[in-house]
Amino acid sequence: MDGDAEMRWEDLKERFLDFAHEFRKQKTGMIGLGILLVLVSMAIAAPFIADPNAFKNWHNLKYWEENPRAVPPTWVEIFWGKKAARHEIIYGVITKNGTTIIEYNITYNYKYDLPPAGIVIKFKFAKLTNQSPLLLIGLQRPDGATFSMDKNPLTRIMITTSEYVWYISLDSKAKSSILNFARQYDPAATNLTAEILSPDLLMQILFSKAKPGMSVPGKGEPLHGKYTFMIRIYLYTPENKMEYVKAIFQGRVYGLLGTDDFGRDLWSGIVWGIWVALMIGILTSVISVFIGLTYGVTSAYLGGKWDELLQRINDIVYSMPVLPILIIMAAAWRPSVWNIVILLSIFSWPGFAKVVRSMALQIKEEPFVEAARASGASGVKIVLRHIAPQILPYTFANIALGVPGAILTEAGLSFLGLGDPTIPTWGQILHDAQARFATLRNLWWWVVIPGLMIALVGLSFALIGIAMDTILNPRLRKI
Amino acid sequence: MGYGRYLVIRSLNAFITLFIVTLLISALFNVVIDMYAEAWIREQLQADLQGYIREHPTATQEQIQEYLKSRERIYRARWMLDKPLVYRILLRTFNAMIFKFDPALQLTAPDGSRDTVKIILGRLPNTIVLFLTSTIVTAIIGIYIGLKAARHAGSLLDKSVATFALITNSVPMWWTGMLFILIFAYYIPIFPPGGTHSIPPPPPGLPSILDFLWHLALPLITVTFVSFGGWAYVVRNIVIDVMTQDFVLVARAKGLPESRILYGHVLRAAAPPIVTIIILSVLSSLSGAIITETVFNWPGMGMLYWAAISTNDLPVIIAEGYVFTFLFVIAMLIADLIYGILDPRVKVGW
Repeated sequence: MDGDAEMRWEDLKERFLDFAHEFRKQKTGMIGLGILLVLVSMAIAAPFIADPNAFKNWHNLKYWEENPRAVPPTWVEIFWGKKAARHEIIYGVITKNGTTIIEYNITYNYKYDLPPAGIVIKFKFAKLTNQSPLLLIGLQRPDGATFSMDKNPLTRIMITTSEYVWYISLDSKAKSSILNFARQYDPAATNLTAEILSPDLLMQILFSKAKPGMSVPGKGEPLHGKYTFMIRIYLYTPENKMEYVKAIFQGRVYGLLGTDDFGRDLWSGIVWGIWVALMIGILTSVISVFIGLTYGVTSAYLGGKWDELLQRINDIVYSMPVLPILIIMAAAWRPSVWNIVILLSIFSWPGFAKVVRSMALQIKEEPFVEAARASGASGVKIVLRHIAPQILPYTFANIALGVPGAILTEAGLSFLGLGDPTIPTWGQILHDAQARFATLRNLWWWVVIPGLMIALVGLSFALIGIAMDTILNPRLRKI
Repeated sequence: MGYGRYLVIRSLNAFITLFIVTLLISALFNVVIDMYAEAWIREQLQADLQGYIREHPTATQEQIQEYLKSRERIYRARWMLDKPLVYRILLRTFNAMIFKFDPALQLTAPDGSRDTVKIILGRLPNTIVLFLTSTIVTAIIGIYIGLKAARHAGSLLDKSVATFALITNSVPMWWTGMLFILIFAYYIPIFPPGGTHSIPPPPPGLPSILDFLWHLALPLITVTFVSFGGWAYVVRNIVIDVMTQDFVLVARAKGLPESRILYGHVLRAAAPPIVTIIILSVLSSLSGAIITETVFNWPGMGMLYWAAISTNDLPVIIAEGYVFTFLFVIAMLIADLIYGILDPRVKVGW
């Protein structure tokens, strides 16, 4: 008896080698495997090719505050035919260090055709008393035009927090100063006010040659060279101590896949999302196929009344609408990704269980099973040693075929806003895109790539599954 | 076995499914609403305590406790927490099955009421219009292409259908919608990006109908584009399976024209499985379609989901879940019944 069983598992090993040989001949299957391997290597390399902290900080918007919002990928420059400003971070250099006055210079070398998306300066204090320091910001352009700190500073602000962040596009005083400057050279600027000046136009004026057209959107010749931001902070008391001043010249383009409305690097989200998608897809499929296998074999083996009862239950689960039920559960509990996997598995086994049952019913009638039963083998033994090994190969094909559905359902849940709120998923990225009207604003990089990734993962598993099915079901090979 | 008995058994089957799913939903809802109620009662009691102490500064500890207990009894009765758990779940199940739901927390019906049933009924027609038209269009295109592919098995068309079906099967329908909006409403602005009518709405009559159809076009194209490949592939497989059977061989031997064999003999024999599989695939694409509505700002049940989820309006989510289950089970039942009519050899697995 034992020898016989060992033979069966030996057979299985041989069959697997045969199978691997056959699989190599299946072109579609190899394509699927190729896509999958690329995705898996990207997922493994995620800490090196993407921001290693992006995974746990995806929903921590403060982490992304320095990044430009909703800017396209760097490579769109090829289509624009213009060089766009890169994302640059420059620390202030101390030029004067007194006990109550401290001065910094920030020198930005502008060498692009399109100006930065914005300028942000962070002031970090090592210690701040309740005697608030006064901040002055001046600017000298390459053409010599100067916003001097003493006569006409860009801005003048009382600082009350130990980590103050200055956005040039939110500072109406700075905007007015820059507009006044433009009015001296460009009559078009007289129609503009600080309230209606868009961040893009503000940047254009700042980084254009001083002549007519500099304040007309899309016009304006770039003025290359060194822009020096001069910063003076009246500390008033030696107890107020600076730590650093840091300027962020936000890129007009960013990274490989651009950013979303919150400044999140989409490349990092996409790459880390591979982990989540693969894990949800594979785990869900493995669990539900395993349930289906056990259920189907048990039902066939027990037969009679029990078989009927189990098939009734199967029918009921099969005719349950998965998405509405999942939505209720998810809305009630905002589940973690693990619970989503469990919920998905609970509803996706009945189809496979039916197939397994009918296969097991056939195998049950075969002579070698009858022989085993006649020689007194127990039920569990027959199922484990004779029936299950015959069905196992189909199980693997079904695992592959079940992955796309699981990934699509999870993406749908995430898209509706019911995903795990602690991790980045492609569905959530698309949810944010939809909630912020990305399609109507032509933020295509935010919309196109996540969906393509969902499709790619689904496709790779479908191709693998179909190839496996073709090999295991000889009848399909003819058609 | 007679068709009557088949009908009764299948209907009973559908009813049991409906009951079990409703029971499940009600149990889930009960857990959530109980948590909500407990928190609400705690808050109320805190407020009552403060008010009581202000009004009765000389009250003893016992009097305060007495008062709080009486208030708590009232609140618990209001949330039915004084009744056993099983009673609450069964009552909610029964109410759901006669379409009686708790009022919405945030959302309102077109007339401003918080009646959940009214809210859903206001949205249902839009979903039905979109879903019905797209199903019909998909069926016509899918079956036609499927038959063509089967007739020329192994041809370029056949292979393209298989590839196309495979790809559209892996693509989220709602994402395709977003993509189509980018292409056909932004880059080549031939369709509106969403909604059911222009703003301001055109005059009633023909212009209004044309405007509606114009808004319907892009969501319709999206659903059809993603679904018809899968249909064609299924139809093709079933038809090829039937074509290898003896009676087709006989028809061919008799010298009947190929088109008559295909549309007369083969399609008739292939109809039952095609109908079943197609109804199943319609149902499985339903979830994609309800999410797609959101993308097109199409004010149907799917968009109601989006609104209910973003305002955490649980009664609406529950009611929608039940209505969807109801429609789903009814559709499954219809599939079974049609199968029974088309295929006289029906066997009941009961």
